Amino acid sequence: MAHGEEQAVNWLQLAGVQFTLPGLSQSETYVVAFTWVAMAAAIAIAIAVAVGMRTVPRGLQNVMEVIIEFLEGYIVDIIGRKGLAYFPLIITVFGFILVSNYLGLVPGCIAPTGNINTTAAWAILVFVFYQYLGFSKHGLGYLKHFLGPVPVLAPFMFVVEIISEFARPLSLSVRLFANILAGEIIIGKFLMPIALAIIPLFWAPVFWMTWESIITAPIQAFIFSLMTMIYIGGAVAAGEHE
Amino acid sequence: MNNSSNCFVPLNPPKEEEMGTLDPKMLVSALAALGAGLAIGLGAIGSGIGIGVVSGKYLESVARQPELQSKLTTYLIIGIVFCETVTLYAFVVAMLLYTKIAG
Repeated sequence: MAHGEEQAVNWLQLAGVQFTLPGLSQSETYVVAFTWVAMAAAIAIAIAVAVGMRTVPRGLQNVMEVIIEFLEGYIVDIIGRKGLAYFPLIITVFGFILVSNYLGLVPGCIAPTGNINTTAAWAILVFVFYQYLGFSKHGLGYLKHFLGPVPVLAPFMFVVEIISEFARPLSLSVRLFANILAGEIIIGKFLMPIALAIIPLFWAPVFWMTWESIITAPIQAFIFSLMTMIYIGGAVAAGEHE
Repeated sequence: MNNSSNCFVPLNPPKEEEMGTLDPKMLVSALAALGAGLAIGLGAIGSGIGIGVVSGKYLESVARQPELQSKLTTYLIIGIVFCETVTLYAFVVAMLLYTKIAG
């Protein structure tokens, strides 16, 4: 964010950590630190499930299996069976974003996805990856699908398609960041001070918005991975329908 | 006419010579703040209507053919996502204007 000082108070700040990474401001350093926390949490959960794996799943393994089967079903629906080759990327995106969305709901922690830099990094990764896939599958013929179906309109369509192609990572990153940041701002800056300052009656909207954020977190993670699947599917299948 | 009974007239109206001294920087800030609010507000109208239409149609078609629900839910989410995108561009414009606000 441009105005980084508007961020909520976090544990590192309370602990008096003054360290800044070279080239970054104080608030951006906090975001990087909490990104590492989110990564560690995601990896720890994955390892914990993988180590204690059993034939009849229980507890956390059940949850993970539901998530994995759900995403696999969508990949097969959208890309086809060969799309399962990209499953590691999609589950990584989903897992990291889900964990970091929920990290923002832990008191005193920042959601790394509430910062445009984190989400832009993911969106650019996805963008470069699916463009690479498109070119490696179809060669220069991949450019043909930017031209549209009508030859007369091709130069015009090319410009429009290129613009909309570059708008994809923009909308992908801004969607996630804006949703998470909006939840944080509304709870932390708007509802909490009112609730703390005035009367207990105003706790109701705080609980309601927290509940909204709890629901938004997996939905946004899912939407990010769904759009990744759609873009990859579009790049892999470019020109096959014509 | 009695000025004190009229609430629309400021009690201490600015003097003639003070009126002309509007700081251009403050004017830019004020207009940027106004524009940022208008951008996101007007931008949200369109996608609000869009999401309403998409989910309304989804409910109609699921009520007619409940067996298609799982397939339609995918399209519902994709439709909502593309409706949202319009507001996101408005949000980007609002953020660009927000950075123009001085102080």
